[in-house]
Amino acid sequence: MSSQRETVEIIDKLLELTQLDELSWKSIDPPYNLTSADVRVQLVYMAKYLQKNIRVYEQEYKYFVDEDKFYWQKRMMFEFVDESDNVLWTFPKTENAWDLLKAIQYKNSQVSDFYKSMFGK
Amino acid sequence: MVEFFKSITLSDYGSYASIIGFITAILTFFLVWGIKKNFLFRSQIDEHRESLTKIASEVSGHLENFSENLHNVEESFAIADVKLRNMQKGASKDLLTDIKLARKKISKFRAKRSIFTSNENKSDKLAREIRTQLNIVIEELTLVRKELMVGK
Repeated sequence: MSSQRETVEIIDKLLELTQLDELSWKSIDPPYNLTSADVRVQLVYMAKYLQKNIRVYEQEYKYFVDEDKFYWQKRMMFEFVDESDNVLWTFPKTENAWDLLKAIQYKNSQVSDFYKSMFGK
Repeated sequence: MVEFFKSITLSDYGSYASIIGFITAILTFFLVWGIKKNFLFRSQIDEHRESLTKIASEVSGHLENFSENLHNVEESFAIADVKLRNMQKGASKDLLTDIKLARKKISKFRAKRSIFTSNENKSDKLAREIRTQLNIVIEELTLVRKELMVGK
C-alpha cells in the first residue's frame, strides 16, 4: 500500500526530473472516460518513466452542499495507467502534486525560453 | 498500625494535608501547562499547514533555477524554520520526528561558511531534500488534523 510519505517522495522526484529536463511530459485532451456532467478536466499530462505510464491532471468536480446547490472544487489526480488509458493505480492526494503540475505547465509552455528570447538573456 | 493512628494529633493531620495539597498543586500545574500547549498547537494546525504549503510551493518555483534564486531559497527556509520551531512545542510522535529532521537539514543548509567549512551545504540537492521533508511535515499535519476531527 502506497503511503502519503512515499507519494510525497515520488512526486518530488518527478518534479526534480521535470525541472532538470530529464523527464518530459506530453499534454493531451482528456479521454472520454475522465469527464462527465459532474467532472471537468482541461488537459492531461502524460509521461513514461521506468516503464510506467504516469498521468497527471487537475480535476474539477461538483461538490454538493444541498440537493441543487453545488460548488466546483479542484483536486489533483496522479495515476499510473496502461496503454489503453485504464487506471492501474491512483496515488493518495498530497499537496506537492500541485507543485508538480505547476512545474510541468511551466516547462511545457516554455515560459523560460520565451523570457530569454524576449529579453535576449 | 492502629497505634500509629491513635498517636497522631490534629496538627499532624494538617501537615499531611498540606503535603498532599502541595503535590496536587504541582500535578495541576503540569496538567494545565500540557493542556495549554496542546490546545495552542491544535488551534494553529490549519495556519501552520497553509503557511508551510506556501513556503514549499515557493521553494519549488525557486528550484527551477537554484543558483539565481539561492537568496530566496535561504529566506524561505529561514521562515520555515521559525514556523517549525513554533510547531515543535506542541507536536508529538511521527510529526515531532519529521519536524526535528526538517530543522536539522535546514540548519545544515543555513550553516555559515567559515575558513574550515566549504559552501557545498548550500546545494540544490540539500534544498530539494528539505523541500521534500517540508512536504512530509505538511502531510503529517493533514493526518493530525483528520485525527482531531474524529476526536482522537
